Amino acid sequence: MQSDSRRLSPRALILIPGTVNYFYNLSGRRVAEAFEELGFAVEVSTLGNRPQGEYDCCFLSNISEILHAHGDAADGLRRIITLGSHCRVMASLAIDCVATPWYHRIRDFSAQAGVGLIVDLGLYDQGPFLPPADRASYRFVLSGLTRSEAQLLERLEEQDDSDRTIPWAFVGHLTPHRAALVDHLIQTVDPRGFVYMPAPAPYTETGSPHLNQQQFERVLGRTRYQVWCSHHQFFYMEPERFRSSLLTGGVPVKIVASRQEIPESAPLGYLMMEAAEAGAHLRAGGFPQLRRRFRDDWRRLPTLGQEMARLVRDFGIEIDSSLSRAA
Amino acid sequence: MMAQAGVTIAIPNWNHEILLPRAITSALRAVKLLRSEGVPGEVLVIDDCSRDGSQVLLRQLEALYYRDGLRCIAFAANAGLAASRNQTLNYARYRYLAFLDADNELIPENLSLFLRTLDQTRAAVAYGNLLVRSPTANSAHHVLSNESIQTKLFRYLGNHVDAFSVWDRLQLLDVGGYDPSLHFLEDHEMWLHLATNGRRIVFVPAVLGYYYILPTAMSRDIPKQELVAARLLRIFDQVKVRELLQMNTCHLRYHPDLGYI
Repeated sequence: MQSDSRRLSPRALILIPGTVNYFYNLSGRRVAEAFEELGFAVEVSTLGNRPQGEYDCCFLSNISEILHAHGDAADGLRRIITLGSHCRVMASLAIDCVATPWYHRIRDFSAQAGVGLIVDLGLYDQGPFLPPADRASYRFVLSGLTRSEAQLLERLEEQDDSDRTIPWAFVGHLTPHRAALVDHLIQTVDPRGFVYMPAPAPYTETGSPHLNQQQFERVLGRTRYQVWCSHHQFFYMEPERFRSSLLTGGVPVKIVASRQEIPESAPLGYLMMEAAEAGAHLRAGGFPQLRRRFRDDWRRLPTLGQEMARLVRDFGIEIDSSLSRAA
Repeated sequence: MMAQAGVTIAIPNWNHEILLPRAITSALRAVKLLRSEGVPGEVLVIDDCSRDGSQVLLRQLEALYYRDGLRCIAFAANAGLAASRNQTLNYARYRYLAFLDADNELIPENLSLFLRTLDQTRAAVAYGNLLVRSPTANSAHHVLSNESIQTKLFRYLGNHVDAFSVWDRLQLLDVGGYDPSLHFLEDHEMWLHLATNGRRIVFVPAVLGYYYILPTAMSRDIPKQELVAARLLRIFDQVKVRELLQMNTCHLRYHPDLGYI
C-alpha cells in the first residue's frame, strides 16, 4: 500500500526561513526536489510550523535566516536542538562566500545548535580558503541542476532570441563600486541596460522594493547578459546568479576586481572578467556562441541529485542505487 | 493649445554658462536620435535672467542649432524655478517633457524608453536611475532616483526623486502646474501633489542621465528648506498617516519591453 511504501522511504526535512530573503527558500526547495528524485519522502517546513516525526536527515537552509525569520533566536535554537534529536543527521546549508560575516553567522549558529556540518551549495570548493579549524565541518556540494531544471534547459533550446531586447541587466543593492561599474557598462557596452539598484533591504517573495524571483526571471528572460559584481571584496561565484541566467536563456557575466583572484578550481572562468574587459566581450556579438558554450559546460556538471546521493551515502543512509544514478 | 506628439527637452538655466554646453549637447543628440526614429522633438532652454554670460552663449547656440531643434527663451526678470518650469509648460511644443537641469546630462539613447513608458502607461511622469558624479569625475559614485516611489515619499520630506524625469505636460497643466509661491522644494512639492491626487508615477529601471553634484547647488541651503518642508508637511501629511495609506502610485515599476514588473 502507498502509505507502507512511504514508511519504507527515507525521510528528509528541509527547513526554510519562509520570509526574509527568498533565495534560501528557493535553495531549500531545490534540495527538496533533489531528495525526492532519490526516493526520499520530503517535507519542507519552517521552524514555526514545528515539524513532527523522525527524519533520516534534516537540512537547515540558512540557519541564520531561519532564526531571524522565527523572530526569537534563543527559542529558535532550542527548537532546532530538539528537532536534531529526532534526526539521524542534521546539516546546515549555505550559499555564501566563506570569508563573509554571513557565512560566519551560519557557522556560529550551527555550532550553537549542535549542527556539526555545513553543506556549501556552490560552484567551487571553498574548503581551501577556510581556516583549518573550520574545515572539518565544511562540505562542498556542487549546485547542479535538478530534474525539472534540466527539463527547462532543454525547452529553452527551442526558443529564439527575437524578443531578447535588453542588452544587459544589473540588479542588486546599491554600493559606490556598483554605481561606478554601471557607469562603465553604460559607456562601454550599451546605454540601454536594465539597471535596478535599490537601497539595501531583504529580497522577500512579496512586498519588497526588490524584484522577487518571478519578477527577476521575467527580466532575465528578455536579457542577454546578467552582469554583477559581489557586494563584498572577496571572490565568490554566486551560484544563484549563474543558474538564474542559465535557466532564463541568458549568459551570466561576473565582474571581478582582478583575474588573479579567480581560483584555478573555479569553473566557467570565461564568464568572469575585469570591468575593463567587459566592453569588448559584451559588444562583440558573440552572445549565441557564448551561451552555447555555457550550456554545454553546465550539462557536463553533476546534477544536484547525484551530488546529494554522494552526500547521503557518506551519512550512511541507504538509497535505491537506480534512483541515485537517474538523479 | 494642442499638444503634438513628441518631446520637449526643457533646460531651465540660471547662471550655468560653463555647464550649459554639456547639457545642450546631450539634449540635441537625443532629439537627433528620436527624429531618426520618427519622433519629433526640440530642446527648449528657459533662461531665468542669468547674469553670467549665459544669454550671449544661448543666442549663439540658438543661431547655430535652431534647425536641430534648439530654442531659447530669456526672462527679463528672475522669477525662480517654479515659474521657470511653469513657463516651460506654456512654451513647449510637444506633449512630453523631459526636464534636464543645466548642470546635468542626458543619456540620449535611453530617452525613448521613458517616452514609450508614458505612452503605454498613461502615467503623469516616468523617472529612472540618475548616475551621480562629482563635477570633474568620469565615473559615478552613487545613484539617485533608483527605485519605485513608496511611502517614504512622505516619511522624509527631502527630495526623494529628482525632477530630471520625463513628464506628461498635459497632466502637469491639469493639476495646476508648479506652486510659484515656493522657492525651495518646488519639485518635491510636485511629487507630493501628483501622488496625493492619484496620478501615476512610474519608475523605469534604466539610466536616464548623469546628475552632477555641485558644491553651490540650490538644494544645499538647509535652513530655508526646513521651513518649506514644514509647510509641505502641513499641506500633505498634517496628521502623519500618509505612510499608512496605500497610494495608486506605490511600487510602480515599468519597462516598455516587459510591462509592469
